[in-house]
Amino acid sequence: MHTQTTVEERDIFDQMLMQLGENLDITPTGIDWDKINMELKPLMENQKNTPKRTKDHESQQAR
Amino acid sequence: MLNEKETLVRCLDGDRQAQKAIYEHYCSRMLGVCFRYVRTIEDAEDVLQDAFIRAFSNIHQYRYDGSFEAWLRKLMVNTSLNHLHKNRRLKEQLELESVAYYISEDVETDAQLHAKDIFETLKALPDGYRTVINLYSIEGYSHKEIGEMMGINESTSRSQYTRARMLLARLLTAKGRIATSNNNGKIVF
Repeated sequence: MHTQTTVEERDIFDQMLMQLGENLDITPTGIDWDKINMELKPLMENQKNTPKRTKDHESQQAR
Repeated sequence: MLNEKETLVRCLDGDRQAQKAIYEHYCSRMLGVCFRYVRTIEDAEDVLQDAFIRAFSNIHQYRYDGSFEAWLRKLMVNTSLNHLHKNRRLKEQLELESVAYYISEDVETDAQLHAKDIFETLKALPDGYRTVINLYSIEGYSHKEIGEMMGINESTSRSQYTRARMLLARLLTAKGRIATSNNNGKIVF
C-alpha cells in the first residue's frame, strides 16, 4: 500500500474491501512476457540510442 | 526467491531476464488491480501490458523511497484510469450517477460476506462508483487525492463514495448477503 498524507476514517467495510483488494491475484492468460517484450524492445533500443542529457545540454537549452 | 533490489538495478540497464523476473513476480497481483477498475479481463490485460511497458520504460523514476510494489500499483491504477477516461466512460458515468441514486437505509450484516460476492458486486457497479470505491476503500487514497486524480471536486468524490457504498450495500442485500434496517443512512456492521 502507498503511504498517505491525509488520514480519513476507514470503517470495517473499507478494511474488508482493502483486504479483498490485496488478496486478488489473477493469472494472465491473454498476454505473456513475450508479448510485452516485443512491444518493449523497440522502446528500449530507442532509449539506448538517445544521447543522455548532460548539464551542458541543459544549460545550452536554457540559453 | 527474487532479490528485488538487485533485479531492479539490472532492469535499469535494460536486462531482459531481470524485466521478465519482475513481470512474472508481479503480473498476477497487478492484473487483480487492473481488473478491479475495468470491465472485462481483456481490457484488464491490455491495461496490464501498457502499464508494464510504461514501468520498464520509466523505471529510472522509481526512487526507492517506498516499496516497488506500491510504485507499480500506482502505475497500474493510473493506467486503468487513463483507459476509462480514454473510453469516456468515467465522466459520463459520474454525471449520470450524480442524479441516479439516493438510498437512505442502514445495512447490517447477519451473514458472512464472502470475498467473491463482494468482488462480483463491485464489478457490477457503474464505472464511476466502482472507481471511487476502489481508490478510497481499497487503494487508500483520500477524497482530495481522488478529486485530483479524477478531475472532480473533493466533495464530489465524497458524495460519490457515499452513494457507491449504499448501492453496493443494496446490491449485496439483493443477493441475500446482508440484511437492511432503516436508521440514519449509514452502513453498520
